Amino acid sequence: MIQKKVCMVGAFATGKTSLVARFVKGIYADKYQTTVGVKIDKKLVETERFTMNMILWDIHGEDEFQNVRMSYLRGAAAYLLVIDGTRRATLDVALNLRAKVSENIGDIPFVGVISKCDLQAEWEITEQDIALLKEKKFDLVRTSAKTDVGIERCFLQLADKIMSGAPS
Amino acid sequence: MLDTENPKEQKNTAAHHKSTDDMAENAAEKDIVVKAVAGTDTDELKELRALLLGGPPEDMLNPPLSPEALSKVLPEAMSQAHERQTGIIAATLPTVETAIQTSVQQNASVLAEALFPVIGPATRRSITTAIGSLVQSLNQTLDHSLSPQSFKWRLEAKRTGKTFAEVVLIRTLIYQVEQVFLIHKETGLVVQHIVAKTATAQDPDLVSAMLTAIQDFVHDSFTVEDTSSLETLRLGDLSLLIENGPQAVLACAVRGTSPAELRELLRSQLESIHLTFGPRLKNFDGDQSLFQDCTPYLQDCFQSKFRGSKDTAPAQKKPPLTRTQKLLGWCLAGILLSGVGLWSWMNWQSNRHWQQFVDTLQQQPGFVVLDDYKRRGAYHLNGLRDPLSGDPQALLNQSRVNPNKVKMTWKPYLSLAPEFLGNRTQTLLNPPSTVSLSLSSQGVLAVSGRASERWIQWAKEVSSSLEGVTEWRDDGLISTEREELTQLKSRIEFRQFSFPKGKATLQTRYAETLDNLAEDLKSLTQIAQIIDEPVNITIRGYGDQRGNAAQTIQLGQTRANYLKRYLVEQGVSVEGLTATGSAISSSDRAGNDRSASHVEVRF
Repeated sequence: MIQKKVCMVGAFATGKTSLVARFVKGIYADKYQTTVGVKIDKKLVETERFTMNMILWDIHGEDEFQNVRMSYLRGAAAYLLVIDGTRRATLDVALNLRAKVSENIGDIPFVGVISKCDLQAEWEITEQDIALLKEKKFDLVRTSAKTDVGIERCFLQLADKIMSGAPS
Repeated sequence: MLDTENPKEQKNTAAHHKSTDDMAENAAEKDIVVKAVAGTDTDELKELRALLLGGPPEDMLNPPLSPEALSKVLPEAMSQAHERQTGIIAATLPTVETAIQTSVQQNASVLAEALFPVIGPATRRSITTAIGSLVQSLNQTLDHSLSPQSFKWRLEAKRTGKTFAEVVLIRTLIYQVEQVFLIHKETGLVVQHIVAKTATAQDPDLVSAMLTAIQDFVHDSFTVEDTSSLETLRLGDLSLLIENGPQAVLACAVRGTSPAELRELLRSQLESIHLTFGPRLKNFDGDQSLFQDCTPYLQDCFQSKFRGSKDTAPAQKKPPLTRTQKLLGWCLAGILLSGVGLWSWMNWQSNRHWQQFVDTLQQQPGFVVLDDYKRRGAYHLNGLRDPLSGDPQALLNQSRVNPNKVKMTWKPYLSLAPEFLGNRTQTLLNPPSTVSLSLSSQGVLAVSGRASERWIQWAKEVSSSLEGVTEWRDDGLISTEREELTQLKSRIEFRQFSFPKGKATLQTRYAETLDNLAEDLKSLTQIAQIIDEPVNITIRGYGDQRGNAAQTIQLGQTRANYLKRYLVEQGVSVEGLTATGSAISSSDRAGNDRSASHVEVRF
């Protein structure tokens, strides 16, 4: 069986941990808990074509106090770039992080995730932004850990990208 | 040297070399000398050869490699090849394997016979090792299943949810490698993981990833050299030894105190893994199945050592004792021995004195020792004691036993020993000093002397119920009351009071005498009452010899009545007191006339 290291990358409080908790354990907690350092989880992803043991590195979010350590991303097969739909600033952080990963780790596959789609009314990310991202060949998935929307899809898409060896 | 002096020659030599290229490289040194000296021209050389050796030079220089010649150099060649490690083993291995295979196929008995002497000892050794380890683990389980410590461990097992066997292992372990991880350095993914049967392990994927994250964290958080890395993590009695290689990390979870050799072992195993699997590790894409065959390297890291087991590391030999230490040791032993000897002797003496005391008590009348023993250095004694016996404490003080170390418990009892019977009778009867008692061995109580009637009656009654007294004998005993009664009687009886003729009143000179009589009578009545003896007193009055007999009796009666009345008036009891008149008394018939007119008192 193939094992792959997958990282969760994004600004703070974008819902990376919730995404993993929903994907791995099928649960969602309303209470916000900030991640310090990194949390490790794993999930067996089974498709018709392959079975993959995904080792999920849930890395703390980037904020004004701490930068995402690139050492945590070393050896990652792919990563989820998480953007909070309700905070425009997280998009910029995500773009910065993506550039940083490319520079330090290389062009590994990633999938862009716009989280909190259950709060669509409060979104600051506009369709225009999304169109711009798509122009940059971003694969984008809208998710909600709370209402379990798009979670499986984003991880499966990432797994597909890893197995097909597609560059970002 | 010749080769380098002349460029032309050099050229020629080179040409010559080329022409003789097919010469065996390992030809004899002599040949080379010849060709070096004579290497100026090919034709000349040929001529020279022909002259010197006289044979066709080609055959001499390029002889066909005969089996004979080869057989001479082959053993040495192989030996040298082996020493230089030129891959001769790898080269010959397939041949040898095939040869063995063919031999077995053709005739298995040849190899079987050859191996026969080896198979026996090898099998025996293998079985002994297996049984040895089984017995050892059984011993450990037995050792620890009944000890007081085992109860603690059972509690711990219950508390932590581990099995008892696991707890025993953990607690008796000096160290044990519980898990070995081979981790791909770049991705932090597990390449291989093995866990000891006795250990419990978490998901190795998560542990491995987290360990990598921790390594990264430490490395990033503190300014260290790029090459340095986390080597040990310690938590309680568990430590994690981490050995970093260029492609992979070998981590060992060790419970207990791991020896330094373990790290050496990890290092060498990791080197071996890199040597064999280096390229595969470099291209690791998360597929563990490619690394199945590196498990033996990890297995080799499984080591353990138990407390109290015989195959632990050689115990540190104590340095030999110095002369002073020896002397000191002997002195200490001597003092200790003397101390023990002295203590034993004192103990023996003390016991002997105690036994003597107990024997003395046993021989004393009025003591019965029921039980004596020694406990915590103190002597205890339980027994019976007659209250009339001697004081045991006084006896103890007289003995050589330390009274402070003795605790005696006495219960009272009555001894039937003759001396005690006599004493007890004496004590109980408490006779007046005028009485002497003597109790014979037959139980006859002889009482003599003088005593009050009251005591005599009481003592007689009490002695009848006294243990050991069978008969009361009071032959020599005088009752004081009876004695007094007799005296009173003698004083009162036949006392006469003379009346003047014809008169029935007494003269006043009798007043004092009459009072004395009245007192005596009163005393007599009292004593008679005490000794319960009926008293009858007759006052007989006599008349004068003047009238007729009837008148005489009448006068006597009147006189007797007069005295009786007088006595009663003085307080004498009227009971038993009779007054009667009478004619002349016989004693007085011959007597004078005056004596006829009187009264007398009779019992």
